[in-house]
Amino acid sequence: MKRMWLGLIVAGVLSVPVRASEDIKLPVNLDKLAERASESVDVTLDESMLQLASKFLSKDDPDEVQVKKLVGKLKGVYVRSFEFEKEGQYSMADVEAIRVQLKSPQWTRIVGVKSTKGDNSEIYIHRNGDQIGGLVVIATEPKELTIVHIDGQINPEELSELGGHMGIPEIGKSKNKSKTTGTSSDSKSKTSNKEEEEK
Amino acid sequence: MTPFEEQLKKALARQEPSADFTSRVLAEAARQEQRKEAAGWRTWFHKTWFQTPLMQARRFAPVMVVFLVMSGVVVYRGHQREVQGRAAKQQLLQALRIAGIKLHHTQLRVVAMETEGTDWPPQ
Repeated sequence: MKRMWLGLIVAGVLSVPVRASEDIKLPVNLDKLAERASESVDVTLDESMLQLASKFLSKDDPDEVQVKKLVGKLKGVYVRSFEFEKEGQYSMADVEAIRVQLKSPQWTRIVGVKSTKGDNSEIYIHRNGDQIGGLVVIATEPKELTIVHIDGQINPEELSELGGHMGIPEIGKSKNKSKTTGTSSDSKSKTSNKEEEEK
Repeated sequence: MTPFEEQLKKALARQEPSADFTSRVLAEAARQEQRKEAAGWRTWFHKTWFQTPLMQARRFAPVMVVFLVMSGVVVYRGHQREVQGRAAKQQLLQALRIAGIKLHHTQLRVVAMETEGTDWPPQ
């Protein structure tokens, strides 16, 4: 009997770090940035709130039907977005707390775009076998910081299908636009980190 | 035997009841029972419907209070849940909008860099 209890306790203790490594905790200091920001968005929706929100999505509106389909498999949606009047209102240390968590083997950085102007974007995915079990987007600009964490099974195709609706730009139909507009850039940008995906 | 005794004996002498005595007694008993029943219904009807509203209110007040409180709680919770749900829906749509915009922006930059070696948007 004692051995059984000991086994259960050991199993419980071992399971905690595994679970914790999968969860991304948005650092508390991010909330302090809201005081300095001219505009801030704070969205925290756990599984129960997502289910509740899902009940209020219309069955007749095709856009909302699409969202409902997407949300059904999610465990949480967390967004912190700040816009500042001046540059230098946040430091990279504020973001570093999240990057550290994303260094665990389950997470892979699929895209990392850097610019000398400080306009950086990173996309991380949580691999769950063949499926994507989560997505984190970190976008930093001199006067803007955005962190998006979508927890749960997410199909990027479903997310891209939302493009063109509800104020989301049409993802994947931008090649022509980028070709015509990307000629006079003076910034030196490093290319995306797709090699990490290939690894 | 005195005349008085004579009268008394005559008065107390056993007499057989008339032939319809039993039926008359039974009929009377049934009538009385009917009267009682009618009076009972009248009393109940009167108490239930014609008592003063104050008396009725006093009787049903605790039940009404419990009923009203419970319905109030149910309605309030439902309303609260609806407000929460609508707020959550708006938050969800906003979150997906931000996520979509940021992914789109990143994609434009990657495509611009891959095709032309420049950044997007042009600086």
